[in-house]
Amino acid sequence: MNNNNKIFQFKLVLLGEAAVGKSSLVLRFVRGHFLDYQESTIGAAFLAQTVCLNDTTVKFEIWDTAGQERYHTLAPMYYRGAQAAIVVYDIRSEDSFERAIKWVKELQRQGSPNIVIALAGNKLDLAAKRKVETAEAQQYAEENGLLFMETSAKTAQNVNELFVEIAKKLPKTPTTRPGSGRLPITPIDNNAAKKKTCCNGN
Amino acid sequence: MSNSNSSNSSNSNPHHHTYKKFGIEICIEYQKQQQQQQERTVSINSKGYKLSIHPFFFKNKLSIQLPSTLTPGSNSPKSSTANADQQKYISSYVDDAGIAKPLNQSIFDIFSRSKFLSTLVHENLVEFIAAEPSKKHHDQILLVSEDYSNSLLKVLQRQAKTSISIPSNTISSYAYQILKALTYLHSNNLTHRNLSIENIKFNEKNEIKLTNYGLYFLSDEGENVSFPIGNLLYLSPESILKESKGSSNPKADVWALGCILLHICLGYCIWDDNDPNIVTNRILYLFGFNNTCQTFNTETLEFQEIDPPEHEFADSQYSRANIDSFLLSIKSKIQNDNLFEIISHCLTPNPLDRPSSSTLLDHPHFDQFKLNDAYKPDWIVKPSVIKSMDLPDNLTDIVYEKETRNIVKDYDVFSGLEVYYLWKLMGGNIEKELISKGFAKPSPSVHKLPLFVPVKSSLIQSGTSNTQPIIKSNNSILYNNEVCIVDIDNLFVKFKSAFKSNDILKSLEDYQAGYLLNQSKKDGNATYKASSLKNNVEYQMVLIKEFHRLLYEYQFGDPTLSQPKIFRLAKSFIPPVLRGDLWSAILGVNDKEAAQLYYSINLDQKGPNDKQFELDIPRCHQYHPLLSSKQGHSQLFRILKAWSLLNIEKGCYWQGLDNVASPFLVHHFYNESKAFASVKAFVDKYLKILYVPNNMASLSEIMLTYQQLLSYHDPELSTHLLNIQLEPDLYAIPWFITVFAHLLSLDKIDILWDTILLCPSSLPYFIAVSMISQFKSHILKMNFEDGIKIISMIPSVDVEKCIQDALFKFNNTPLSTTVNKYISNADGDLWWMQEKPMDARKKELFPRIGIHDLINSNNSNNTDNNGQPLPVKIIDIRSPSFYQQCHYPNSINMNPKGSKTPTQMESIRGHPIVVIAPPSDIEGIDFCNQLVKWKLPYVSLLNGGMDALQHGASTLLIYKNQDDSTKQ
Repeated sequence: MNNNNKIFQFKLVLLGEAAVGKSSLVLRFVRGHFLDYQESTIGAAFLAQTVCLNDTTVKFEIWDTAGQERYHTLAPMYYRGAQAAIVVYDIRSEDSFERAIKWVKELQRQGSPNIVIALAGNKLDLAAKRKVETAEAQQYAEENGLLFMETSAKTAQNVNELFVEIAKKLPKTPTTRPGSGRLPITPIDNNAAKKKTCCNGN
Repeated sequence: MSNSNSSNSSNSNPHHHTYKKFGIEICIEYQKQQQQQQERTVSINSKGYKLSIHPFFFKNKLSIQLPSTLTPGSNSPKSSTANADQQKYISSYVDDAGIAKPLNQSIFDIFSRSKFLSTLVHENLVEFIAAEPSKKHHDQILLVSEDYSNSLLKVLQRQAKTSISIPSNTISSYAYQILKALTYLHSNNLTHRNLSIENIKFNEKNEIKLTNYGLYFLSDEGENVSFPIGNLLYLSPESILKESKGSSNPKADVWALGCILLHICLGYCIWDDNDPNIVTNRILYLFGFNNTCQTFNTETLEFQEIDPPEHEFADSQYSRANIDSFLLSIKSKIQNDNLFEIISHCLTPNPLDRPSSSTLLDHPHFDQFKLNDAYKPDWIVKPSVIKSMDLPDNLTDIVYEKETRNIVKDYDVFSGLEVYYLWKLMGGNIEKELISKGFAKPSPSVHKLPLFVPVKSSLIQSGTSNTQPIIKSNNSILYNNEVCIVDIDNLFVKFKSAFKSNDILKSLEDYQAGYLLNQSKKDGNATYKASSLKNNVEYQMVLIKEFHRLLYEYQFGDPTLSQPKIFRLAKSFIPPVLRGDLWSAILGVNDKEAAQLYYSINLDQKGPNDKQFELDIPRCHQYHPLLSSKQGHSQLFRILKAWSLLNIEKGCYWQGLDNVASPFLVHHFYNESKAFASVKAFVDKYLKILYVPNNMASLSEIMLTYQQLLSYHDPELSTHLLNIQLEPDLYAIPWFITVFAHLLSLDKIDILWDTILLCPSSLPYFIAVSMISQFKSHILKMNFEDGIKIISMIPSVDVEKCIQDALFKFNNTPLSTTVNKYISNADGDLWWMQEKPMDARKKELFPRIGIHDLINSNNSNNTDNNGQPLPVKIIDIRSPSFYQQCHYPNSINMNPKGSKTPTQMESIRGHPIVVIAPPSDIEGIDFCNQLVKWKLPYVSLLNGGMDALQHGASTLLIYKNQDDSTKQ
């Protein structure tokens, strides 16, 4: 089969502690702008953006989640069925890095098998206040098979690069089609897959 | 401290019992026992009330954007004072959340401080009304305040011409009134610092009104302005000596008062001179400095220049020697010994020894004024605290002060803020006013660049004419006391016509009666009326006056009587100037209890969510000047913290409460306890079930109800959304978890909540349905991704249209659709009330209704486009044999598996459809879902079907054989 100009669609979810810059990363990637005061995300927000690789186009369906720990109960609803995840921390906060590690573990345990996980140390523009060393995060990422980059949503440094790297790493199988990941709000729902409504929207 | 011995409470000042204390007084007189149609006498006591606009330039320190690579130091903004100055010039101030402050941070801080000035209420202060951003200059703020044309300056000028001196008793009365105002300011931690004969105004009753008292505070003690604040003649020595911030304390005002009293007694300022250096030296001489080349000649009573002393004098500041000899020599010119004593107290060189304003007010000399003071001496405390103390014994006696011959006198006072609001409503515009009065001089905008440096004219050979405007533009850095006075006489004419008769109030009462009742939908006027109310000055005057009366009753009388009245009247319109107070009253907030509760919470302890608050607050509605200011952040933090500490056991903080609290903080800025109590009451009413540790079940329930109501009203949109798998949980959670406060901007939240607060707590469902319906035509064309893009445009929704639509939908929806129909441990016979698993219920695209709604549905009046009524259609899908045995009147028997097609059902499109199904429910669910998918609106299933009817309404049913039924 010829892969030329094939469009692949992937579901990608952003996870991480509150105010580490998840929404800002997405907005920088999708709309190319940055807001000094990005309102907190409640529940989740959805955006889409495409990345062109050499011979293929990868379309990301991006779910940007709420960071507050309380909204954790909602998170499985958003990461279920995701083929990729970006776990974000703030390089100025060790707590946020530890939280990121917990997210990675949760994804490895409960996320889709073969999920591509990227670890992003955000707010690189504020490197003078750094608390999490690059080497430390790099090492953790390597040990766990994660993509790793330090980014700045404010200066756009490494933002597109991060998404391109993820796009490259995702398996380009022709059947790739998200959708089954959108599930009702019930936290544990084993019958969810059966519950598909007539899916003929075009 | 204060002499509170004057216990006589029957005073002649009617406005002591009005909601607003000071402003424009109106009095409406009418005969009590005559018909309503009579003419009323309206008198207005404005006392020469005017509005003034003070164009005020502040120093734009946060000016130039340095590239972050050049300023590594900018990452540690909260460092010590060493590089504090440098910090201020670095625009990208970065706080702990990593969020850069905007360039106009200082203007936002000025705005938020101005809100504090607006909370001050005192009989001898002009009301500070508002600070408005200038549209012409980025570094200018327009200060709007109450004003009067007569000032002490003018009094002294007139007196100089007539050479009749002011009686000492009058001077003492001035001193008393100024001291009262100063004491009030000082008790609020404000220093006037700008007291001068120009800033002491008189109203037409010759009462003193201090003005310009906020400039020093607004400018952060002079930090944000490039000019020195205060008149040099009255500047205290310690203010002259130390130019740094914070060098002036309230004692500086006492010195200034002494200077001014002396000025009045003598008719001129004895140390005045054209050269400010000489003035400075003379003041410093009085302060005790002997090396200033100035001395006072006690013979000629003039200052003289002397040669500098040959040897250095010992540091003699704080010495009274010079001032005492000075005062002694002029003592004969001051008739009253007491007054002389007060002046000499005021002019104490050492600020530590100088008495405070409140100490001076205790001087026995002022006792005569205290006894006759119409304003009781409770000015020491802020009015919000003392209000509850002057609770009248019998409210009706005061609100309607009865007089002889059955004449009723109805008093009210409109505050400056309300006057300003009404003036704007009449088309008033401060920018236009400034232009027409020649205050806004045109200058090229390039001259306003922050770091604009005028090039010296000698360097420009060619363009000499260019130099003039450059120099002129520097006027902005000099203190300009000039204000633009606005006459508001045309407003008085409106006042008179508004209150001339009782007609407007009556029509307002008629209007609110139809607000939520079913009449409103037949009556297309409802929408028209709401928009006409909004812009009708006379209606608003009547409305504001009526709300004053009700709010006063609510505060001091029986709230259970006045609250329902407020509720009803608010349905006509909520004037923005009273929004905060009305919202709180509607939510049942009591000021006194609110303060007691709020201040009983220990905010010094560490709270569980402190860190989260610090992350969320700096990004919550930051486009709003108050919420993005330092004061806004700290107030919101304390309110959220108080809420979370109070609810530590039952509730918890969910992101979004910050958005919910914001509108209340904006309306009660600097009144944290009231803002807090309003937030608490709001959460209790709308969000209690969501702000708990586990809200999944409630959230699912809400999402399902919303989904079903959307199907009920717009099956086409609802089925499309389901087809593209755009389910409510993906977009509507923030709507309901914040009552739209996260979704909309604050101006839209205001309008929306005005309605939501007055309606049953189910209204948000209908708002949500109406909101998404506004984007229906777009969404219908879209797939999942584009659909969600359209949904992200919902913040641009037309809120007023949405409200009208939601009220219409609310009126056309059976009440039981939004009520939980299931109870735990329901009796086996009541199978329809037993809880069903959420998964099963999610398959139902339609709402269920209770039997009461079916019974009442006969009164329902859905209409088609031509206004023809569309009565409810009751479809019974049980087998014909069961149907014949017993059925509901006017119901149609229908075989659900029969050959019905969408076109055959078209005939009942638009009618409410209630389905009565067999007990198994499965057939009913399938049938109703089918109707929804056929895009038939208003489909509902009768919960429990015939069993429920037989259980609760058996007498209404039609039985095959009436005799059989009676036997059973």
